[in-house]
Parts: sequence; structure tokens; C-alpha cells
Amino acid sequence: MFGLDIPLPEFWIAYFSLFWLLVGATATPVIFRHRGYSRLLGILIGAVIGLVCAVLFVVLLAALKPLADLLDRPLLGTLLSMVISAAVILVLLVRARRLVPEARYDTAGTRPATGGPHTPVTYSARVDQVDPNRQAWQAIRASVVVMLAALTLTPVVWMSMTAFKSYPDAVASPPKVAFDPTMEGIITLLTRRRQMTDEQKAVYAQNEDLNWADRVMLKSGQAILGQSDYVKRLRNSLIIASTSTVLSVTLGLLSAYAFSRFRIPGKGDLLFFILSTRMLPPVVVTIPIFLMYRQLGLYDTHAGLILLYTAFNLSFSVWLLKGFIDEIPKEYEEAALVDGYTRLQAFIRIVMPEAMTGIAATTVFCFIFAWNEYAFALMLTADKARTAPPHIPSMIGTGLVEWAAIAAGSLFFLIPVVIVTFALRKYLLRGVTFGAIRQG
Amino acid sequence: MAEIQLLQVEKKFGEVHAVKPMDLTVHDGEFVVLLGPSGCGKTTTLRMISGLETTTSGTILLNGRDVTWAHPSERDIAFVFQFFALYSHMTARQNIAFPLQAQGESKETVNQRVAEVSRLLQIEHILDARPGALSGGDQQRVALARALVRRPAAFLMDEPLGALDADFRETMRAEIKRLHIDNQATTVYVTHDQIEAMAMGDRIVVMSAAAVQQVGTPTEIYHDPASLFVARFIGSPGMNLVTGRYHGGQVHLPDCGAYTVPPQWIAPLNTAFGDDGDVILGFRPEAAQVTPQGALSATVYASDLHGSYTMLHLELCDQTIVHVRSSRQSSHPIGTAVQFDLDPAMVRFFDPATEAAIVPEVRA
Repeated sequence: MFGLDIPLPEFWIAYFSLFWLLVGATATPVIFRHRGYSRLLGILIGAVIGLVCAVLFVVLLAALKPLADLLDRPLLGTLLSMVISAAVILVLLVRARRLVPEARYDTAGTRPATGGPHTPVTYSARVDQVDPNRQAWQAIRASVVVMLAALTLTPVVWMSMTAFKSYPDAVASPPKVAFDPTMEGIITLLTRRRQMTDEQKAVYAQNEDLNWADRVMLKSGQAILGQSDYVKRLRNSLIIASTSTVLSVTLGLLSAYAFSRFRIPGKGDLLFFILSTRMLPPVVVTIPIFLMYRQLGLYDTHAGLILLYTAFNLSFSVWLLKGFIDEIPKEYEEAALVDGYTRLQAFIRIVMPEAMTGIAATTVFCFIFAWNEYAFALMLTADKARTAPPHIPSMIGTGLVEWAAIAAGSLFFLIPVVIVTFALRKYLLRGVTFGAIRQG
Repeated sequence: MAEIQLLQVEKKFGEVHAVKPMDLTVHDGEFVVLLGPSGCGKTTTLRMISGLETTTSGTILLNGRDVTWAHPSERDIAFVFQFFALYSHMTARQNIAFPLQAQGESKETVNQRVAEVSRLLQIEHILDARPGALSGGDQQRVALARALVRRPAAFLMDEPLGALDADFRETMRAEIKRLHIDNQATTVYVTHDQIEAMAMGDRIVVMSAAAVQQVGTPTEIYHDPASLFVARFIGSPGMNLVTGRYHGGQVHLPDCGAYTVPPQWIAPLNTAFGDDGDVILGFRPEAAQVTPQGALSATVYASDLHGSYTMLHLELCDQTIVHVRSSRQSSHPIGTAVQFDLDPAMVRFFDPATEAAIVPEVRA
């Protein structure tokens, strides 16, 4: 990650220039629209203001550099330039609104009456009724959010780029933004290879049945021997994370339902006991569990890790789901019971759909935990059941670090989590369907 | 349709009685209202009939069949909840069809029955909306439709109008009453609103402190309350209750003179108290008339105009306030002394020791 004190002025120049441009281009049109001008003119003027500020920022940065160097605080220059250019753009935006005369051809007074009883008033038609300052602030806030998101996503983007770089590009300094994409890193990640001498290479190249991956690797003089361990690790990760997620959500849902609906002796104590399994840092129990697993034959097995992750996630899923089920009025099931359904049917047809938000949220959290878990996986697996998290750092190994392969490994590792989260995204938005029961 | 019988049905939560042993028969096609203040056990009774709550002891018969331990789904009854309990993830149509799907009805039957019931309740235009998008009244209609669609043996309703706005309640009350008249379905209806109970019930079961206080038609409950509780609870304001001493065919009110007991009450009162005993005299506001010849005297404490009549609040000598209806025209300034008389047919007597009403032998 870039820190503010890392002397990387180019990045900040690009970043903040973009930010001022964005602010100018989003906030100004609001003001101009309000004054009755076309949106395009606003965007244009906004872009100019943004550009002025971006230039100002760059100039200030250069001008303040001696001062910053003098005080030995590289951060100071950047900060000062930021503050000053921010002040200038805000003043410009507010001033601009005051200075802009009302357009004569399209003001509220002279505008032809397009409304009336037969034209429904839409929200967008009433945009002039909203305080322009408020809208401008909203635009600025949106720009900040966009830029922050961009900043957060930079490492991910950088990682994705590195995955497609060749070795020289990956280690180039200054870092290369424009490069020739290659599949080398990905192929390196997924295969085992053998380095060939020049004669071997010549013979190898004669082969008829070389596929595109073989040809890519031939350039660096390597012959593909077979699948690498990474594929196995990723498959293990997928099996273990998804099985343990399904198990902990299913078991959690059933026990949360029981805790929420039935009178269970010692309910509070039981719930606290379930929660207390979370209070111990996992690292503390790795050694005992390692010894136990070795005795039980669970060491380096899929079942072992699934069991452990399920047990670990269960406390979390019981508590989270209990909250969600508590919110479903019990009249829902009672209505279904009276209407001729059994309790199990009522549970499946009424409780589960109503608790879908909770189930989705729990699934995402459980999956992310099981997917990312490192310490137990490192201790309790060796080869057969080893998951991706302990494997990726081991790829660094000795000698030359295959950054492209590591980046590709991390990228592939990221994809399932993204898929799960996106697939359940719709349920993560709460409160859309709540409220059919009025809580008196 | 169905007849519901409760025989010595009782519910205890731990050592606390939620419902003391009660007997009740709801006849086929009858509209019975369980009425009482909150926490009196009326909802628990209803839930025991539905099977959502188990009974501690006693027997529940549905058409003569013992259903005390039957699962709710085996009882063939419909329940309308106070907060409707519509499934928010289904449209109104799916909500209404849901009970039919439990019975495994064919798709055509389901569609036809949903169409029928939604025409009856005039909710055809909102069938594809989700409950969250409906107004309170429409939600209530959908909930009613879901209960009606299955043509159950009996309807149980738990304060179905409690969640609605006051003026809309009147409309829905009439709709439910009308539905009952059209379908003649056995209905048990729980409410804490005595006006609702009087307006809707064929019979009213007044409950208080986990026990049944009185079972009777609205007229009986209003005019012949069986106990002081019922006398106070029914009517707004409730029955006027004045403590006095019965002696020699008269009720002597402390310092206020005496009220001569109507002849038909002398025998029962003599049986109850001998010739001398404390008694509570009860009368409805409309049983009193302010006339110069009245036997009882009081001073005007306050008077409110209710539109069609004036409610006078009169202070007796022992500082008891009684409420008396008087005509709209008559004016009684505050502080003036007035005389009033009671309609002999509308006075009732209670025993302060047992809190029960004195019953004339003719009716007993």
C-alpha cells in the first residue's frame, strides 16, 4: 500500500488531480442546472475548475517541496497542497454559483407551463426545488466515496495486473503500469515445469502436440510436466470451506430456531456456553488440537478441517441467526400450523424464506472465515488436505520469487469469496421486505 | 360447520393460572366474543382452542371429537391474528392460496377459490401486491381471505381490529359481521373492546383474572351483570354502584335519604340479607331521571354534552359520583341540588361480600 509519507508524488498528483476533476465535473452542473443553463455547460466549466485546481495542486506541490525538504517532512508538502487546492475549489464552486447570472431563456418565471393537472409531476422534474448547495455537497461527497473506493481497490488492481506480467515487468522499478500481458504467471502457478538446456529446448520445440501453454513456457525454456500443487490446494480450500459453511449454517439455523422458539431448560447458559467457545484465541488451542487430531487420525484430512471450521463457525451462526429468527414474529408459523402445515413444513416454507437475509449474511461470514483460515490449516495439514492460505506463502520459497505466480495465486484465491458475496448481495440488503407485521 | 365445547379447560404457566377451569359451548354458527381486560386469559383460551397452546387439564371437543391433544393442523379451524401474520415474502394471492396448498388442492381449485374469496372481500385488485405495500385494512382483508378460503369448521379471531385506525374499525367490524351472517360460520372472537363485543357477539363471555365472569347475550350482559366486575366493565361509563344499607324494604344511603326498593326485589333481598345488611345498588346512567319529585338527592358535580344527550355527574352525600343521562335541553348548572329517581325495572342489587348480583327468584 502507498502511505502518505512514501515519496511517490506522481501517484498523489494523478490521484488528486482526478479527484478535483471529478468534484468539478459533478458539483458544478448542479449549480448551473439550477441557474437554468444546460448541464453540458456545467460539466465543461466544472472540468475547467477541476483542471485549475489540479494544476494548482501540482504547482503547489512543487513550490512547497523546498519547504518540506527543509523541515524534513515530505508529508507536509502534500498535505498543504491538498488543503489549499481543496479550499480553492470550494470557494470557486460557491463563488461560481453567486457569479453565474440567471439564464434568461429558461428561468422558473419564463419557463412555459409544462406541468398542470394532466402531467404527473415526477421527482426529476422537481430537481429545482431542492437546495442546490445540498446537491452540490452530495456530489462532492459522492466524489470522495468514488476516490476512496478507487484507493482501496488499487492494491487489488495492482495484484491483478502483476498476475499478467512477465518476471522482468513484475520486478521493474519504477513499477510498470503499461506492460505486455502474458499468461506466464498463471501457467507457472498451475503447473510443474522442468528447465531445459538449449539442445533439449530445440528437440522439445519439434513436438507436434504442444498446446498454447506449452508454447508460452517454451519462451523461457521450460517444459510443462503436470499440474502443480496449487490446483489441489485450491480444490481442498473449496471443498473444506463450502462443506463447513453448509454444515455450520444448517446446524446453526436449526439450533437458532430451537433457541428462539422453544422453552429449553438452561437456555441462557447454553447460549453463553456456545458463545464462550469464541472467547479463546484459536492459536491457544492449535497444539492440543494437533495432538488430538494425530491420535484420532484426523490429521491432514478434509474431515478434520471441516469439523474444526464447523465447530468454530457454529457459535457465530447460532447467535447471528437467532437474532434474525427472533425478529420473525412467531404468529407467522402459528398461522401456517393452523392452516394445516406441520412444524417442519412451516419452518421450510415460512421461517427460512423470511430469514433469508440472515442466512445469506451468515453464509458469507462463515465462508470467508473458513476460506481465509490460516493457522489451523498450517498446523493440521501437510499435503493431502492442505488449503490455499498456507500454501501461497510457501510458494515464495528460495531463490527467485515468482511474483506473477504469487499474484495469480492470490487472485484465484480471491475469486470464490467475491462470487459468494455477489451472489448473496441481494439478500444482504436488509429491510426491503420487512414490515408486513405491524409491531403494535 | 362446528360446535366447540370446552370442558373444565385449564391452563397454568408454572403455578400461575392463565385460565382457571372453564366450561363453554359455542353452538354451530354462533358468534361468541371473549371479552375482558388484557391479561385475563381470553387469548390463551383462544389459543388452546386452536391448539397453539396446550391445555393443562380439561377436554376440548370439536363437533364431539376430542381434539385436546390434536395438532393445530388437524383441527380444521382458521385463526386470524391481531397483527395479521401475513407472509411478507409472498404476494397477497400466494398468502391466500397458502392454506389450500397444505391440503394438496389442484391448481384450478386453488385459483377458483382464491378468486371467489377475493371477490367476496373485494380485494381482487391487490392480489399481486406484497403485504408490506398494503394498507392496514387491505392487510386485514387479505388475512380474512386466507382464513375464509379454506372453509374451515370454525374461525378464531384474536383482536383482528386492534391494529386498525379507530374510524376504519367500524367499517371492518361491519364487514366481519356481514361475513358471519352470510356464512354462518362458528366464530370465536377475542377483544378487549366492550363496544365491539356488544356490537358483534351473539353471546359474550366476560373474563377477568383468568376466570369466566359471565356468559350471556349482549342484552343480558348489559342489563343483568352477574357480578360487580361485569357491571363496572360493560358500558361507558359503567354501571353506577352505590353502597347502602338494606333495611325494611328500603336501601338507606348514608346521609342521603332512602331508596324504596321496587316490590319485585323485596323477596330476593330478604332472602339474601334477612332484614338488615349492606347492599350495593346498581343502575345504568339511562335508568335515572332527574325530576323534582325524585327520591334521591344530589348536587351537580359536572355535566358534559354528548350531542344527543347530556351526561350529568352527580355527587351524592358520601361523595360518590354517579353518572346520569339527562335530556339535551335541560340545563343543570354546577353546584345546584337536584333530585333524581330510578326506573324500577332497571335497578340491580349486588352483595358486597360476594360481589355477585342478587338474582330474583323468577329468573333463578
